[in-house]
Amino acid sequence: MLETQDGKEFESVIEGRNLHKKFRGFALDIDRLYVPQGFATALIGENGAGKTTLLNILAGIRLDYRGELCYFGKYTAEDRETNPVVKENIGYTGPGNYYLPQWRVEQVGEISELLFDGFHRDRFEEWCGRLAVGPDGSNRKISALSDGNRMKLMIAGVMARDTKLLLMDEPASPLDPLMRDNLCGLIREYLAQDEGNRSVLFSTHNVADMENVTDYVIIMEGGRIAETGFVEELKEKYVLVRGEPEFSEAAAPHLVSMNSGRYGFEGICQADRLDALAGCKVSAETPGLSQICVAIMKKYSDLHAGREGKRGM
Amino acid sequence: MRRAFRSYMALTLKSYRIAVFVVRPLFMLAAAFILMWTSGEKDGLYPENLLFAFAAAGDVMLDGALFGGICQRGAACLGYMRTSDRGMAVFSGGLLVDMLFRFLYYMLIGGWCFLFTGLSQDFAAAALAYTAVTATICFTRHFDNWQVDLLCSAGIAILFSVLYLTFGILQNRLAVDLQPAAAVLCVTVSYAAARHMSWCLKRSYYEKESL
Repeated sequence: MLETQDGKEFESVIEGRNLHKKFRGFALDIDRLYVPQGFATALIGENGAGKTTLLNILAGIRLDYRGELCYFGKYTAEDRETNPVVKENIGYTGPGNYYLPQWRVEQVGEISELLFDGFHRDRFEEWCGRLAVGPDGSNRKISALSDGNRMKLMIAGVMARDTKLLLMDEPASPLDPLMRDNLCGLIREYLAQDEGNRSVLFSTHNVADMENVTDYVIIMEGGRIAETGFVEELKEKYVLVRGEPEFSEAAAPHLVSMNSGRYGFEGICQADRLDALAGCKVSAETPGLSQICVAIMKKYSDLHAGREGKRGM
Repeated sequence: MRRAFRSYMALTLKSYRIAVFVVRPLFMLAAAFILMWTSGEKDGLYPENLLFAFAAAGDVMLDGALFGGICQRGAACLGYMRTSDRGMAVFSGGLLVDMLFRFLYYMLIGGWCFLFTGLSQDFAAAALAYTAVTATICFTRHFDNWQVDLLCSAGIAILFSVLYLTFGILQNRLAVDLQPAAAVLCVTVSYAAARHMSWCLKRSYYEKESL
């Protein structure tokens, strides 16, 4: 169960505790993970923050980790491997060589039919047409498809299934701006079905493009969760401040992150610390999700680079 | 078994199936006909040796085109298979059927040769060629690289020739029928290959962190 700042409670579609996966020079270390049910959750973070590792763990692609997971409020990670219901209800799209490069578009449909009970071939073909997979809709080899078309094929593959949860690793990255907009639309369409029981967790670097579909945000940094919350909550928690250049030094310690130049400074400040800037001549605005995310990622990058102490939260 | 056949059909390309079920057998049967008709032991040639060495070399290349690299850790497509609880069964089923079809193909050529020669050792030659190919593709499937397949296809012709000649020499010297031994070798290598494939798939599938 997920509780928001204003006391509202939400069911979680995935809950994780003490998730740990160690690589050489990197460790994923998540004490608590909540993905709210019925919403689109964006997983945001720098390259190498652990987003793909986390999504692979959640999808069951990686099993070499420690920790506890709970799906749909009742299934454990062990159930995911033994009870077909769990994987049947989870759709996953990933980057790179997700399908064998020799396969053809039609083959993906044939194989998916074998792999999933809830896969509908007619729906798959419909989605392939709707997303314009391949330049002329032909039955091309996967290796001959562009990255964008490969992603569209994966999306068609999961949309053709009856699932309750979509895990999407960087779905927007290889897509053109128009297709990204379509992606937001189809995520909304997916969530609207099944009386709010469907959820989406996607990782993205294109925060601005995906903001209109994002309800809840998990910001990762260095293998840990740096911030979580509903978008509106975060927009209340953080404030975008702008000020004259002479106040930049005085304001810096109170800002999460700051950009300064000859004509002034701009930074993200926690709303409850806005009083500390009383002596500075600053204007306050509601920040965009992208600005909040960048500020938080920047703060943690600075901490990792040993520049802590200069700015605070 | 029906599901395994469906898996095979889904995993293999149409062009691969045409090559495997139509072009390859027709070509080999024609080649066998020409070789058996025009040459014989009297010419110092062992036509079945040439025939099966050629068939095995072609088989390794053909297999590499479809299944090259599937034994690699984190191989392409396994990610997709892992998202389904049936992924492992579908993939192993497809590979087993591929093995079965390969066996039948070699027995078909062996039977065809038998029609000409009347020698039952043609079946032994077929079993040995099948054994050599099955062992070799266990290696080549670790590489998604046609140069490796090419090298191995040359190597397998030699491997088969050595196996077949050793078999012939032993049979003559010991003066015993070694065909049951060829059958045992064939079954043993098939079993080992199936286990190896299964292990390779499981390795990247279900391996857990050793803590």
